[in-house]
Amino acid sequence: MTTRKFFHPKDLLFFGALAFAAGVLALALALSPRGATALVEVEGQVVLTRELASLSAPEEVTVTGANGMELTCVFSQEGVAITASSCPDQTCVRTGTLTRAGEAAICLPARTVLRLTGSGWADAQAY
Amino acid sequence: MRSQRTGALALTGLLGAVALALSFLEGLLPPLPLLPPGAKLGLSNLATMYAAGALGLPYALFLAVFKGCFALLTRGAVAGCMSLAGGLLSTLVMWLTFRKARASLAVVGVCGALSHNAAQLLVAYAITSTPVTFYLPILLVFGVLTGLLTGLVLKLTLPPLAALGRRLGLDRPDL
Amino acid sequence: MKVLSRISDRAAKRAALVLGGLGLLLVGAALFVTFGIDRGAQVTTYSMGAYVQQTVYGPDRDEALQAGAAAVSELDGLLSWRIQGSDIDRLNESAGQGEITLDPRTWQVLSDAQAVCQASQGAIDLTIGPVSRLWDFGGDPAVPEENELAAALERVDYTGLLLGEDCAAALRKEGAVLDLGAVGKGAGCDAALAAYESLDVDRAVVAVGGSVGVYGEKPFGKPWEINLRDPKSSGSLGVLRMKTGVVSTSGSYERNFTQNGVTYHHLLDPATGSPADSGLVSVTVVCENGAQSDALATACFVLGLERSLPLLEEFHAQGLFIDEEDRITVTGGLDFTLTGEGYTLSPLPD
Repeated sequence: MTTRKFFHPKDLLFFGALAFAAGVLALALALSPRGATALVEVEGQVVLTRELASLSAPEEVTVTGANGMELTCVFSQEGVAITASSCPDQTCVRTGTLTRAGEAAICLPARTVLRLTGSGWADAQAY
Repeated sequence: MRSQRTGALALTGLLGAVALALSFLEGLLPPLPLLPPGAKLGLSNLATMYAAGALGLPYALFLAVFKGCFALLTRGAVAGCMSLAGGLLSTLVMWLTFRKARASLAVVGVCGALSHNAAQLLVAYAITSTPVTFYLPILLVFGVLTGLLTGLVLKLTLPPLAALGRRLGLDRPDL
Repeated sequence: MKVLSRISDRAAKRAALVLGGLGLLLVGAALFVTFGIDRGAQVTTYSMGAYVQQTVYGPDRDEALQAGAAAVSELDGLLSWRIQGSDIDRLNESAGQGEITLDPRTWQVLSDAQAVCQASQGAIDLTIGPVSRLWDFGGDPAVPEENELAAALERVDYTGLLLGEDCAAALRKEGAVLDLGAVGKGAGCDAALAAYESLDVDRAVVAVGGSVGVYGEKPFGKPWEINLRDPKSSGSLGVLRMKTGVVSTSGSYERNFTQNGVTYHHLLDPATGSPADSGLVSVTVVCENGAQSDALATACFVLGLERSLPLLEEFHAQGLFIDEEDRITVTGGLDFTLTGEGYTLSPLPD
């Protein structure tokens, strides 16, 4: 009986293609603009927005998500993050600080998402 | 000689137990940063991978459902959905890669892992309706690594598994 | 897959190498973009009753941050009438008594701002102190009594501020009080930018409250992008692009209070002693000199759109006007892209 091999030389093509795809993705991600607006969504509904450029000092907000869970979000010019959560797995907290548009910290048990959008980041905010 | 069916059932049962054991072991590992919720090493894919190759699609899918239900009961609805989605898609993909593409174990493993992650990402998107493209690069790398690992472990454990399969009367225990 | 078996092993290896190599290159580029590019140094301090945010790029950036923060803080110590012993406080105390000598920095700010007072014929008046104290927008604002206001207005006269050689200054009339609230933040930007000059700084941007000053050139000669705030919402009005200078905004929405159903804002008309009523909600001015951009923004708010245009031209400044009907008018040399909702761009009057 022929035993299936672990690796075949032609597999290199497959992995080469994967490496290429990874490269494209990595570069696209690196070039993505910094997030300008932060949104907090609970169960698909936006409950909170902040324009990061207009923050003169870091701001901390406690958000109540689904299932009675509470999350603490911090917004600042440098980025946003979920710093504390009453959820069991703490994945959202471990996501760390978000800086680019499109990045998100997701808390599935609380059905809450903190994410950044915005087509770009101005150099400064005048008001 | 036992019939194919009985042998297959017996082996499925065994693989189910193995899958649960591996799932449990995986759960003990501390979750890593940067990964979306629920992303795991995928070691338990070993069972479904072998089933997809040796037992055929129906038995393999049964295993995936079995794992999903177990996750549902022990870790909650969210984990259950993730496991079910990931398991079903990866099993299907692995079966296709085994039978139709006749690929090597490394490729099957990687395809399985990548499709598993892709399905989980889709579930996360469905639950939270958030664009999750941010996770793609790291999942790609992670998927390739775990896929290779799974393929390698399977290659190493193939002799005893194949022997067992032969004893139980299977057609292609060697994949 | 049948198609795969047609490709030879060698061809597959070569293709894989090419693809893999490209992938690695792209990853390298991604890493470079993320980590290799010069990130500026940033710091936020507090002076002049506002946050001072600096972002500096260049070898001396940490030193520059400190120097900039110190420059703004020192200037506050010189210009604030609330600080006992400050240059302005001393000048106020000496009103009607003769000249005193000021720190060169104070003298320069007064000189720059006074030029706008004179050119606008008092639409902005540095001696508005007696009136602004009555209104007390910085503390517990209230509408002053008519006779009190009239008496205070008597003491307001920009022509009474005299600036002489060697940093000499005098307030001719007794009872004159200087209040530099309308120009302080713009002057603060000037101070920080001047601090960068003597150091090895490639480029920088400094914000003192709402006034923003830029220094140096951005990569590829791109202009600096400054977000302007939408007075109605908490969002963005649009993006202003400028290569040099300082941008300042005067808006009625910044500080106001309501008494007996009427809303009073903090931009006082020195002629009447009451909030200016020119049909404008906000004026943004870009000028090379920060103190002047701040002064011009206030003067233009008082003058209204039409009378502002020649004034801006005199100082080679650009302006953006928002009126009470949500119309935005922009001078010819201002590069602004409107993104806020509910506004219309209006052409310059002929």
